[in-house]
Amino acid sequence: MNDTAPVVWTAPLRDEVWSVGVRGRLDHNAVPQLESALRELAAAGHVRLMVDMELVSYINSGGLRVLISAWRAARREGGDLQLCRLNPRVNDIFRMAGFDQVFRIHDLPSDAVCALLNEPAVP
Amino acid sequence: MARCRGGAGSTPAFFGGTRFKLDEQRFVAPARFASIADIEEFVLRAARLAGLDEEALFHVELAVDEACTNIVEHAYGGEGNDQIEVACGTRVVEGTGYFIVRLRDQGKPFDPDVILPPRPTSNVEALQVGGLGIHFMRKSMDRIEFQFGEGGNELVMYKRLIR
Repeated sequence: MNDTAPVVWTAPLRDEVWSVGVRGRLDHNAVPQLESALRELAAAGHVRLMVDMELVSYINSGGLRVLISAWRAARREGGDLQLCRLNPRVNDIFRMAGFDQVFRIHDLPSDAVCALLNEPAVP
Repeated sequence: MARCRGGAGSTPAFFGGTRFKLDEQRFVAPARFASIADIEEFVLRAARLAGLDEEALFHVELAVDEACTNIVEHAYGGEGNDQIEVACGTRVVEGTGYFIVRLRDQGKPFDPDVILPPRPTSNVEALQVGGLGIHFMRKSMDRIEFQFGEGGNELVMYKRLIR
């Protein structure tokens, strides 16, 4: 990954499920970008969101608050925000906050997409 | 000055009953978000030299990030021309070795005891996420202590050297 790659990017997957990709440290520098991307998706009416955390090495309370805010907004509109591919350190932070009990967290992006569409997971 | 304590345990405020003189390694930075990375680098270099393992370093990084963010956002009410003073060192307290980080600011008094831990729930409207920073500091360090008064705030955080 080169240094000019965006820290946050979004992409449509299928059936109105959107992927939000994040790279690097979700700290004070990157959190506004994530917040902006999630707000843009919400404003466009996209409420089934999968945040792929594979390339996230760190998240602080500000990053968690942004995810909670987007999860809340999506749920209010009948959608959901689910996560996938948390590394062990980031997962540790989610557990510290008890947010592993709030978010649905998947090992694979395909499982997250199926869950967002209420489909059985692909074996 | 008022004193508070955080973290687990029932020992008196100011662990060991005395104030620490952490003058081995000191660093003063502008109270700005851009300084947090510099403060983390300073603290983690000292923590690595003290022998903390990678997991403990990650916890110290999280605690320092949250503490500095709180100072800028809440104690000083945003970025300005104020300062954060950082000191690190190691001490043996009651037979156990600790890596210690002390942060000082001259901002508004802050009482962490009024902050309740988050209560996770799947209920969208009921979920409260205030106070997460303090919660992370308490969970990631072995002990934290606050002192606040007219001279400003002082936060001392302890991480055991041996797990």
